[in-house]
Amino acid sequence: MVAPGHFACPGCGESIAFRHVLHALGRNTVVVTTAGCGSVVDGYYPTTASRVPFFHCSFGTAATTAAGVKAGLEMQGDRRTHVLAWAGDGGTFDIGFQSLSGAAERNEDILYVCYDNEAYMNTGVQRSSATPKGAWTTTTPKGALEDRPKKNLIAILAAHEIPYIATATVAYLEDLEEKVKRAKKIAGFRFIHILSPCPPGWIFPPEKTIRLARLAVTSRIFPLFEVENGKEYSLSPMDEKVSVREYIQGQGRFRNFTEEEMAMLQRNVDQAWDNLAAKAKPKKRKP
Amino acid sequence: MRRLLTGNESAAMAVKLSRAQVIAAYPITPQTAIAEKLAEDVAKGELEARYMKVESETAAMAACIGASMSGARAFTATSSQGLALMHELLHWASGARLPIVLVNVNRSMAAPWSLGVDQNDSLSQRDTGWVQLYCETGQEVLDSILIAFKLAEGMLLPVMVAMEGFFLSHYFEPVDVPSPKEVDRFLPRRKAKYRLDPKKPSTFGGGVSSGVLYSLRQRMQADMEGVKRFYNRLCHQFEQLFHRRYSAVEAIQTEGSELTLVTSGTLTGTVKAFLKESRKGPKVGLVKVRMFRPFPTAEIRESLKGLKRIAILDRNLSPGSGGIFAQEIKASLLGVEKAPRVLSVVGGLGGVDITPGHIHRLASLLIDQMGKTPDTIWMEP
Amino acid sequence: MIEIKISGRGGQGVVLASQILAMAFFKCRRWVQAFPSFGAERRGAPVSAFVRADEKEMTLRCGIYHPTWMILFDPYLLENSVGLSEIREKGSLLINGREMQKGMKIPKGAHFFVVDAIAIAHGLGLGGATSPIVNTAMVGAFAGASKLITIESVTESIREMAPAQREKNEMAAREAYKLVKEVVL
Repeated sequence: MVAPGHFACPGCGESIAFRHVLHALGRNTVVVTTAGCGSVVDGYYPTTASRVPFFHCSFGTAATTAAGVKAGLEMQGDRRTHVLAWAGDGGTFDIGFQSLSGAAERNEDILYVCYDNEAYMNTGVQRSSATPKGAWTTTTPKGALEDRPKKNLIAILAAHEIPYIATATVAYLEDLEEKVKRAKKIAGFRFIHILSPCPPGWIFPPEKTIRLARLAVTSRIFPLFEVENGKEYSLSPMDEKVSVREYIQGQGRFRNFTEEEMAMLQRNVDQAWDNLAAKAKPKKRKP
Repeated sequence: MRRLLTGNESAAMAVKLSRAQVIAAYPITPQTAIAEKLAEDVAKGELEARYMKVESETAAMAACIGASMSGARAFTATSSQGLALMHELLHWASGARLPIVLVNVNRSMAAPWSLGVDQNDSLSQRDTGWVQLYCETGQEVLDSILIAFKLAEGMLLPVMVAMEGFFLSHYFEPVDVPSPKEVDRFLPRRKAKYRLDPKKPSTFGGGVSSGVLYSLRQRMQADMEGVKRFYNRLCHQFEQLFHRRYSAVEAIQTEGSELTLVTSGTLTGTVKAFLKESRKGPKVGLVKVRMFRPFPTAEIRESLKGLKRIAILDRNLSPGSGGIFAQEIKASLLGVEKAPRVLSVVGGLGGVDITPGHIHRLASLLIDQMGKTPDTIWMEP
Repeated sequence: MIEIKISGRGGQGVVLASQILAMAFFKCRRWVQAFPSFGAERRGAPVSAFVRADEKEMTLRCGIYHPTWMILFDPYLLENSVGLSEIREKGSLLINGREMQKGMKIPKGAHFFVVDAIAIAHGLGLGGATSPIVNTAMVGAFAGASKLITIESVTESIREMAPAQREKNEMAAREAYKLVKEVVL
């Protein structure tokens, strides 16, 4: 679904995610994307990498624009085409937040996928509300590193009681595609949050993308799970838990982490993991 | 002290020297280096300010409005889409008579996405009640921001300093950076007469009758006229202290010219370079427009007095009408005796490059066209 | 007026090199401009930056289309039509390499210089094996090849502007200044 020759940096998590999401959705899909890496990666006129219809909309309006596309298609008799809103963390957590909440609250029938590289990467690594605590960005430089926790968007969307929410990442591609396929069969507002490591922004060698994505999951900083109807949590299969240190130390953006901060992070992650595990129950999955 | 800085760095330097107290900015190409440099200055303690990492440009202007209303010196920077997102609040800021300074790095408006420069973004906001100044060089960016704060706080009107994306924002060039002491002498701390103060409670911005709104607009127009006079006084003061002269409109070798080009922004510099090349043929002059709002009618008429022919070069377009500087300049010449013949030229949209060679070919073409009065002429890319 | 085009790949420090070069000219009492190619960039993609230097103040602001000098950080860019024909008549080309590449069509009358900046970087441990830091060496080589700026102006500029490893970057520039040589065609 995605032609080679697109503009992603070497090791880009977003481009991997996009390819697999589209693969799971199939050709009967329209993509709406906003300003961000996803928009630029597709390429410049007169070329495009997307083999399905692809529309660029303004930065803060991905969810609403996608909802508009879906409404228009349905009014013309097409209820089958999937509409995918494809936006980064900036366009989802920050400037696109109003649009996201509005569409979620109205239960618009779209699949919204946020590729989260945890900062405004396309404009050169400025912080977003998805930037984790302690991270370096150009607007959280040394002396003023990010001091707020990552916004818990899943909890916020769960509070909107939408039919389906999932987390996924590029180290578990089968899991990612399964979740997209599951979402495909559900009507209403569906949200998938994909952690997309970014070599220049997180500061790591491009060949380590998949490894880092896996560590995000195994350290349980980014656990894989699903939430149905805002209430029913279920955990996805994940590899054995490891310490947060293994994830943190591989990234230059966390270069200034102190031992105290590492200990605090471990405590917070353990706490959050315990909470999640308590909420989730083992689920019998239909094939 | 003379240093090498990009236009964006010059802007950030000016904001630091101006001792802005609240900065709310959202990243957008080609402004990002301004936001980043100021974040760094605050983190290092070189600038004592609150830096708000807001979630959008609407939020950036809203934060500036709040900060300014509280009496603090507020600043933001943006470009194209971001400035457009602020549109409602630009009206708000001027209506509330808040002395906010905004640097707009000119860039083409989407759709489709374009990172190239044209002036549509700032010119689209010409009716919002903001003072607008257009810069040609990095030096001018730095100086204009210092002047802007003083102008804004003196007249209680917000000021927009426009600088072109890439041709200014990303050009690394020599800039004279004044010392903090020198700037403090020119620009003292803000002392807000009207602000949110529990010791002197007041309500701002509530509903008004038609009559009151009407008189507020009359006052705003009168104050915009006052801006012209105050700006001239400030520039005089600035020249005394820093030995650099700025004026709302600048005539550059127009005497005896067959054709005078009227420009704004970086195009001015390229036309200057063209004029320096020794050529044969008709004499060409240049008029630079620095202030666009308030529109300097008297200065425009004065600079164009007695000229035979002028061609206004617009790096912008009001679709369905034409170049925007051209519209306003033509209007200001209405009723003037023996006004020059006027041609309107549009070029450089989307960042299409304009070289001295382009100006040379344009000048030749225009001299030919002078007998006729065609509609807008488009420059060849 | 001297106009210089520097071409390399995203991540090689092409823009920083243009600023160091501009700073060096500035220290040699020239008026300067330095600016990148415009548009979105990404790691590994071809990127260019430009420098103008003149005895007196320059007012023009536009792109450089016929540079006096072209500096190539990555000789393989030549296969991607970096546009050697752009070089001004009797202009000069400086490449990071050991000899003329196959298929290079150097305009008649142009001067051709080479320096093995990769070897210099490796020798000093500047950057990794796959991404050596060549930009400071290339600026030093330019000083040696053109003699338009002094090596001191280059090393001073590096001291002021290099984000890290100042001493090593200075040494790279000095070595390249000595090792750069003209290849007569």
